[in-house]
Amino acid sequence: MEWRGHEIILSVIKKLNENGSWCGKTHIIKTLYLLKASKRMDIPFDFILYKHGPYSFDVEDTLAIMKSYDAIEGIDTCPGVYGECLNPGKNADFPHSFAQLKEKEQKAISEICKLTGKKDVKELERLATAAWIVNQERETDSNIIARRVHELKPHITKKQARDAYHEIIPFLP
Amino acid sequence: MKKLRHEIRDAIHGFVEFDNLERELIDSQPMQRLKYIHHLAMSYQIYPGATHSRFEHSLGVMELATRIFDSVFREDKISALIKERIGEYIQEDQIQSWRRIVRLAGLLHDVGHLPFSHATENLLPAGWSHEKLTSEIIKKSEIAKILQEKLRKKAVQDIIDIATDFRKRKKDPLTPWKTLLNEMITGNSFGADRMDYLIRDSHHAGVTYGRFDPVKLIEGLRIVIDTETDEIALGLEYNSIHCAEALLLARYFMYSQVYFHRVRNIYDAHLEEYLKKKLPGGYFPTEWKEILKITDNEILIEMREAALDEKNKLHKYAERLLCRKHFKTVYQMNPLHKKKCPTIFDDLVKYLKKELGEDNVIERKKDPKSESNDFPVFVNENEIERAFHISNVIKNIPSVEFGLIFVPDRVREKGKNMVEGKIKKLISGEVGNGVAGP
Repeated sequence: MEWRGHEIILSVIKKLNENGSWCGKTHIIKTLYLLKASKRMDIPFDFILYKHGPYSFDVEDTLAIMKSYDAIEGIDTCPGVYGECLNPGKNADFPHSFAQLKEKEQKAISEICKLTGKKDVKELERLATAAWIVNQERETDSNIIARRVHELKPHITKKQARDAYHEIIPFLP
Repeated sequence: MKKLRHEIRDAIHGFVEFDNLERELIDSQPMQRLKYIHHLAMSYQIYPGATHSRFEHSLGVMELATRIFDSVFREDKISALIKERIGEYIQEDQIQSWRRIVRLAGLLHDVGHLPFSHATENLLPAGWSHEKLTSEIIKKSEIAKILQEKLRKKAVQDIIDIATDFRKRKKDPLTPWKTLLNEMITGNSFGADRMDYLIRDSHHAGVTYGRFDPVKLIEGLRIVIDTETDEIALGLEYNSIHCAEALLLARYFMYSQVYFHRVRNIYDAHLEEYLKKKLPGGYFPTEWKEILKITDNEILIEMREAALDEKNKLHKYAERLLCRKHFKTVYQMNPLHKKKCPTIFDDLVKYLKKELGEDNVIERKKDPKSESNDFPVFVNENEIERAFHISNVIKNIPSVEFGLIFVPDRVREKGKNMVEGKIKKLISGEVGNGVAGP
């Protein structure tokens, strides 16, 4: 088992909850991508640019594994309307006995979760996609970034993309 | 006069028709090679009928991908809203050219498979996969030559983009249009690849688990604007939701009863072990020309020689595969054990290896995977829902996982007793990292 990945996810879930997040799968994945893009800690998951912006099948599979041993649990608070919220489960302390996060890593998680905790999935998609362009295409010009985001995700307007870029840039290296 | 249309009778779909260009590709050496690659590796040791090949599956995927394409682009299914998004691609000349690309992507999508299909995929060096080899072969072999002579310049790349799983692309994301076409081949819920292998494998294995109604399911597919992404996506009409439920249940049962069958798994493990000893450096080559030279046949001939010759250094490994001297199961992971002690499987493997010796224990494990079955459902022009909201069946289909431990037959009873004793200790939290039991 990749206990470090499990411990990071549990830490993100706890911090997102503290910041009032819905804390569904998308919230966790986008937060993990922004942490990876910030390069402030090693995030052991691969991401691709998928339909909803940066996405990780690794994280999705890890969430399934964590559910299988009750490290996390899904709660359907609004069945048929929204997806489930994810909370620590009764074996949530288990990964901690194999992997502990450093203080600076916990600080990075806290800061990114403060940014993402109050965002809805559409806002998170914009932030993460803008971060993807900066990170993958090494682009720094906000107009070019806005154009690229709009090209890749036509439903995101250039203005929304530019705003997302300005919001995310203080967190990127 | 030269014949313009040709056909092959397929065991599943009846006549599969193709034209001269497709015939040239079917007759090419890389495609003919697939006749000698078993679709389910050595599953025929358990299900004697499961001797079918990647070749027939490739024809089946081409056929189903075409049916999906023709269904979703039927004029009465394309609303004004969809037309606005994809108008440039559905002009008469354009749509025919994309139909051709989708057919060829279906036909060629598995051309880079190693001998024994997925069972040997771990024997490729890091960074390689059958998808990457497929791209190489489409780009560089005689297939590229045939395609470049007859089709537009970009066709080769278009075929690769649509044939290979876009979820594995780390660079160059696909456009929404190509993502849509790619889903017709590789899609998790309705891809032609998945539909064909479920029906074909269940037919040849002689089991009923993999059956569903592909005709009604394909009829119910249509392009929608996914409310989550605001982009075009492959969706399903509300009235056909039960067909998707049947497909996803079929997949669940095929995985739990056939693909993850415990004896099938030990054959895969023994095959990997045999090839690891046989191949130079323990890996298959990654040069596409070399891959095209190897099929199951060459490997099976050498394996049989080794099984019959006691002096052959691979004798004991070949014997396990060909003389039914495979290892036997001493533990099959139980989800309740895992909840009580998340490390139970690894702890048992470690314990048995220490007590019985490394060479006498083989473990096979697959963690649960997220199934991503939450596709858009077309209720009416103004209402697109999510499958998870509409179907509790789809939402609650469990992810299949397994953990198996095998030992040689001669120590089977001893191994079983050791496992039983150790489990009791682990789940009561007496040793290891077990979480205390109730």
